[in-house]
Amino acid sequence: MSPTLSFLLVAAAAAGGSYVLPEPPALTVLGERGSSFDEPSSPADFSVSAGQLVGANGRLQPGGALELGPRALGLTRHITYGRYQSSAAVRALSRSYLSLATASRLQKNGKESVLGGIGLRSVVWGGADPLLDTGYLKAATTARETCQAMLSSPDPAVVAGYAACVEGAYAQSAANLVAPPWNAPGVVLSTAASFGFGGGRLSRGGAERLSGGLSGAVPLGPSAQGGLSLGWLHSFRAAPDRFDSAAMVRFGAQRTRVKVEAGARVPTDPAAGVIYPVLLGGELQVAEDAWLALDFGLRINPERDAVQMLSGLSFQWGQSSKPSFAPELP
Amino acid sequence: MGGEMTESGEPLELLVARDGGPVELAVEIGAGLICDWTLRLLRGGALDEAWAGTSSDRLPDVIQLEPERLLREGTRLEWIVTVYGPAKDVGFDLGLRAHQGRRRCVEFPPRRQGELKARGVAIERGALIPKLLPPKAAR
Repeated sequence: MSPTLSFLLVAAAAAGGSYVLPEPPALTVLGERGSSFDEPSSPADFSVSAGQLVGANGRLQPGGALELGPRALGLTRHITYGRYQSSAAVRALSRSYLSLATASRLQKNGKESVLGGIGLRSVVWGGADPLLDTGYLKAATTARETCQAMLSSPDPAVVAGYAACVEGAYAQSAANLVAPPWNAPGVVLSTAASFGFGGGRLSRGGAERLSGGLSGAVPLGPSAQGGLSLGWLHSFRAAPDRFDSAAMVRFGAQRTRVKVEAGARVPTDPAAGVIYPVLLGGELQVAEDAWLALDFGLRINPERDAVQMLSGLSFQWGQSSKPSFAPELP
Repeated sequence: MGGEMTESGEPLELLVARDGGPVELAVEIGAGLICDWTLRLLRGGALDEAWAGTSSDRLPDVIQLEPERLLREGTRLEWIVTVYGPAKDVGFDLGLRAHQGRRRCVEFPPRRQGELKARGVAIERGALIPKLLPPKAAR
């Protein structure tokens, strides 16, 4: 049956988000697309963020989410410039992120239980890594050759002038380094699992879902980007497994973008019906490190004559949360 | 952060055992970033010797110093690390290792974390004062 305007309006406030742009998989496996999350950058920050997931009673609290990279755990200190340049595996590892999230779920008996998600995503390939720019090495070499000998001088006045020298020399030599474009190509691999927690404790046989996904994007000219994603979700409960696919086109510039997405969610049980999400969204950079994202869309299930409205408004800030396929630096 | 020399408070004690073999010092700067480092050995305020290296060749370079040289009166070690930012904001995490054999010579080794602006420079520096490790502790 083809979709018509007589579809039943099921809900008006389901989350928007994106089916193609990389998001923390711990959130998406819980169905919390487009939600905000913490990005701790040190072990101390991590303990604060993790504290929001666990209450004073030691039980999981719903509504928390965080994603952390290897730098937050001090794991990138041994990745030298040479190793980073020579090993694609090291680059992928240093751009891998662990995510944790919780959400609440209303049970059949009317009580609320907590769902916990854990996920991992990795930029396995990124086409615009500023650390791989040979100009970066040249700029640093120029500044070094200009100033570093000053630090070997016995004259304290010469040593004191080093900071101004190197700052000026690098400002000149690095002036032509170009930041990666917003529509840089990339491939992101992700996996996640969710678990049920009854009364705040892990339920017996608590595994609920297992998901995996691959998404990628390429530039379409200077001001557009095309993306594709493929996903799979296995349910340990009654719900059928399903395959997801989605395509996306984004238009815009470095600070403002519009996106259009369309996809298909195909369950392994044909009786459940294929769902077609269609999404229109925008991203606006409101500050140097902050983004506002707005999404509207429909989730159409022709089999059940049902249309679900999607909408979402999110505020994202921090390095890794910029919606991008370009490698996020560690 | 660009361009300012950041020095953390008081110099740290570098505990050296007289018969513990050479003290090894190395700068660690990860995350694939380029940095330059300089180690200055001062005696009585005057420069005795300086070593320099860069992460773009073979960091961590290890500097080995004999205990006798470090334990001379009025000796001070200064370290200066310059981290260069690529064309995108990035975090950095650098540390200084100081070991004598398997023993750590600084109780809390210098470690600096920060954010580096695109095309910016961070200059981190600190000082170590060598001190004789009591023979009992050296064992």
